Amino acid sequence: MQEDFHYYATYCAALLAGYKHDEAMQLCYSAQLVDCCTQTMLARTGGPKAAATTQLQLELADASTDPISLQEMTRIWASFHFLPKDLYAKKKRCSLRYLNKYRLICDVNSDLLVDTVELARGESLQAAGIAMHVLADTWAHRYFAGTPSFVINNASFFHDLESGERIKFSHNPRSGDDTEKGLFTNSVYQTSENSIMNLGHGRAGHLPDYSYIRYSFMPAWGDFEVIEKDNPAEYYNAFAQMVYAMKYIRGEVETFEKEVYDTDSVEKYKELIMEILKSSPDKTADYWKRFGEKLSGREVEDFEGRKYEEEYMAADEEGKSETYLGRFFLAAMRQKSMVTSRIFGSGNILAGVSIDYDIKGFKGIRDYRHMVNEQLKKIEEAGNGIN
Amino acid sequence: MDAAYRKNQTNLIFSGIAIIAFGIWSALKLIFYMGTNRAAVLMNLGFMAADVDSPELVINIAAGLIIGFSVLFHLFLGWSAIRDAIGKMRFRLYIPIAAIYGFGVFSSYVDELFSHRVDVTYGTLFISFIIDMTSVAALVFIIVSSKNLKKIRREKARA
Repeated sequence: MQEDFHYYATYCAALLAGYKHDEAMQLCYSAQLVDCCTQTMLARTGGPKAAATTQLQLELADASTDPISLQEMTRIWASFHFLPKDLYAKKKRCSLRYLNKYRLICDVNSDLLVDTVELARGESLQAAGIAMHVLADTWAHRYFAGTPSFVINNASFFHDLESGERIKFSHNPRSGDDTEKGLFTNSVYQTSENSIMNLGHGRAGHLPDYSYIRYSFMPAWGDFEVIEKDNPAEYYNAFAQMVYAMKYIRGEVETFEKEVYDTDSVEKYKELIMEILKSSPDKTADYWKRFGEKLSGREVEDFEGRKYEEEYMAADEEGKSETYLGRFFLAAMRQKSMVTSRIFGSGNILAGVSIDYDIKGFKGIRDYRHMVNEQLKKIEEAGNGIN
Repeated sequence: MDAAYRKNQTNLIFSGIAIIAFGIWSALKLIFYMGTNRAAVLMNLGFMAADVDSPELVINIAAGLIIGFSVLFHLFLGWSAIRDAIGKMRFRLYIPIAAIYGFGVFSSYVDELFSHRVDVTYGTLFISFIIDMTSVAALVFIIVSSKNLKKIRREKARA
C-alpha cells in the first residue's frame, strides 16, 4: 500500500476507532513512517540500524545475496510488509529450502497478525501505527513473500478483470506507471533465485498497491492456479479490520480475533469509501484526506518525512527514547524481534537466528540491547506498581 | 481443470523448445566432430590413411545432408509439440515418431554400454548419455503432456 492508505486512510480509521485528532495524527504518521525508516534515514539521524523497517531501492541494489544479507532483508520485509500467513504450512514433494520460503508467503488473518496487534496493545501510538501498517499490507501484499525468491515471487499471466485484457509491463523504473493508459512497470525477469528482482511483489509492479484495480495473475508457487485480486473489496476489509484492531489496542474491545471486521462502524461510510478506493491513484490521497477532515473537523497535515528528526537528534542519550522517533524505533525493533523469533521458532532460518533473552540472556545485535533494557524497565516499573 | 491445462500446455511448449535446442546441439556436435576428428570418421568409413587428407566432396555433402536432416527432424518434432500446445494440431503424427525416436536413442546407449567395445571412452559416453537422456526425457514429457491435453480438451468439449 502507499501513502494514501497508510497515512490518510489510517487517520480516518483511527478516528472511527475512537482516537482523537492529535492521537490519530501521531498514529497515522507512524504507519506511513514504516515506508520511510531506512538505514539511510537511521544513519542520518543516528538511530539504531536494527530499527530499519524498509529498504530503499539503492540499498537493495547495493545489498549482496549472501545468507546474512538475505536474512537481514527477510527480517525487514517479512516483519513489516509481508507478514507470513502460516509458518507451519505443508506442501508435498518439495525440498526444505523451498518449503521455508513457501512458509513466508503473506496472507490475511494470520496468527502473526494477531501477535502483531496484541504486541501494540497498551503501548505507544507509534506501536499502534506500525501494527496498522503491517495489517494493511497483509491485504495488499497477499500471495507474495518478503524474501527474494524466484520460485515463490515470480508471477505472470496478468489480466485486468474489468477489461479482460492482458496487462503488459515495461521495466524502466524511471518511466513510472501511467494508470490511465494502462502502462505499468515491474521488476525485470530474473531466474536467479535470490535476485532482488524477485523480492516481494516486484514482479507484479505496483498493482497490489493500487486500490482501484481488479486483476488476475499466476504466482510461481501456485502450480498454475490463477488468483484473482479485487483490490477495492480487499482494501475495504483492511480498513474495517484496522478500525477493529485499533479499538482493541485502545482497550475498547477485549480480544482481537482473526476474520473480524468492524463493519458496523464503517457501514455508513461504505459508499464513500468504495468511491475513494475505486478512484484514480493520483486522487485517492486527496479524497481520503478530505474524508478525514470531514470526520474530525480538523485539518490533516500532509506527511512530512523529516518532521520528528530534529527532535530526536537534539535529544540526549537518555531522552531519545521519549522522543517520537525514539518510541517509533523501539516499537519497530519489538515488532521485528517478535516476527523473527516466530519464524526462527518454526525451524525456518531465513530470517536469521533469534535468541530467547529469558533463557540465554542478551546475545546478538547490539541495537536490541536498548529495546531489552526498555522492556526490563517496564517490567520493573509494573512490578513496583508504577503505571 | 484450467490449472492442469495450463500446466500441460506449458510443459508441451517448453519440451518442444528443448527438442529444437537439442536438434541444434546435435548438428553442432556433428559439425565439430567432423571438423576435429575427420580422419577417424573417414577411417571408420573405410578410407585408407593416405586418402584421409584429401578433400572428399561426397563425404562433405553426405555429412551436410545428415546434419540438415537431424535439424529438420528435431524442428518437426519440437514445432509440432508447440502447435499441439496452442491447439493448432489436427493430426498428432509426431507422437509415435517421438516415441520411436526416444526408444531408439535410449536403446543405442544400452547397446553401447553392454557391447564392451574397446574404443569406447566411458567418460565421453557418460556425458553424452546425460545430454541425450535429457532429450529422451523431453520426448517423454511431450508424449505425456500431449496425451493429457487431449484428454482435458475432450472433457472441456463434453462439459
